[in-house]
Amino acid sequence: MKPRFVIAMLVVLAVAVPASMLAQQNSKAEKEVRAVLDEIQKAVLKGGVEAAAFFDKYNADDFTLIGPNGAVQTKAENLEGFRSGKTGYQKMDFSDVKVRIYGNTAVVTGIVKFIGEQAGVKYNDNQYRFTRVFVRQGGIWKHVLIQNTRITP
Amino acid sequence: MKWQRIALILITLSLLVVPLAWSQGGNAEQQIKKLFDQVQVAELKGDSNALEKLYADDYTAIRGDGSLITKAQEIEKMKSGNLKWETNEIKDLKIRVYGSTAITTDLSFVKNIRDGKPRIGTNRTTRIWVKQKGNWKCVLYQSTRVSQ
Repeated sequence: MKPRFVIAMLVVLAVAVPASMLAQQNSKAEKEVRAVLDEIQKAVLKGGVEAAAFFDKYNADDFTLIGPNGAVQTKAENLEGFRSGKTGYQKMDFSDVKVRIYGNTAVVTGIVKFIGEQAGVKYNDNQYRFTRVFVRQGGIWKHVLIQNTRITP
Repeated sequence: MKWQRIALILITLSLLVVPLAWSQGGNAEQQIKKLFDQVQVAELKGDSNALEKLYADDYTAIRGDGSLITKAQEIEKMKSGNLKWETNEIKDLKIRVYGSTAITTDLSFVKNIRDGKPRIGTNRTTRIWVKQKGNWKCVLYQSTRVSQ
């Protein structure tokens, strides 16, 4: 075998193998994040202390929620909303969900339809464009940010 | 003697690595602040070339009305004169860095004209930045109108 051919093959392998491994890792990460999103939906619909316990685990300490009126909630305020019953949902449906993985961060965008109430804001089955950012911390995909913007006709 | 040497090497390495890691975290925040300011300047100037460099190829923007647009659509709007910024006053800017990803959130008072329609108001804004091939690029923008 000619040395040039061997070198060319090694170069091709050096580029192709890491790219293929990265694609596999991203695909696995995307599945994990989508599974977390399903769990979030279940927890939100349960509400109350169960939802608070779930988000205590899955929301990072610096978690921030930007609601559709532009109000900002911290993790503590978010958990208190569930515990006190001031936050509660009867419906939460995601659609058009796209997951982008950047290393240990996942950026999820999509549309969500809510019926419920959060921090004095009533959700009457309107559509919101959302972003959710997850960062992998201690082996868990944790929420660091949610932002909801109402889709207006 | 051998173990002493290994211990000495490990201590030296840790003394080098810890400040380096700390300084990179500090630098990342400064770099993001600089890029954030560059976005504001480019928007006010209508400098689509600058924004093209600051945005990643997969950049998407969620506007205050919930519409979703791509990098190409945003750049085209600016080039065609269908998006003109008059004011963009930033308050409450927060920068969070998670390794090679950063999030900026702020409260911005904006005056702009999009597709011939003037818009004046206060928005809660998020930008997500990812370090790609050594450069920070904005991959996502979202704006939510602040209502009283």
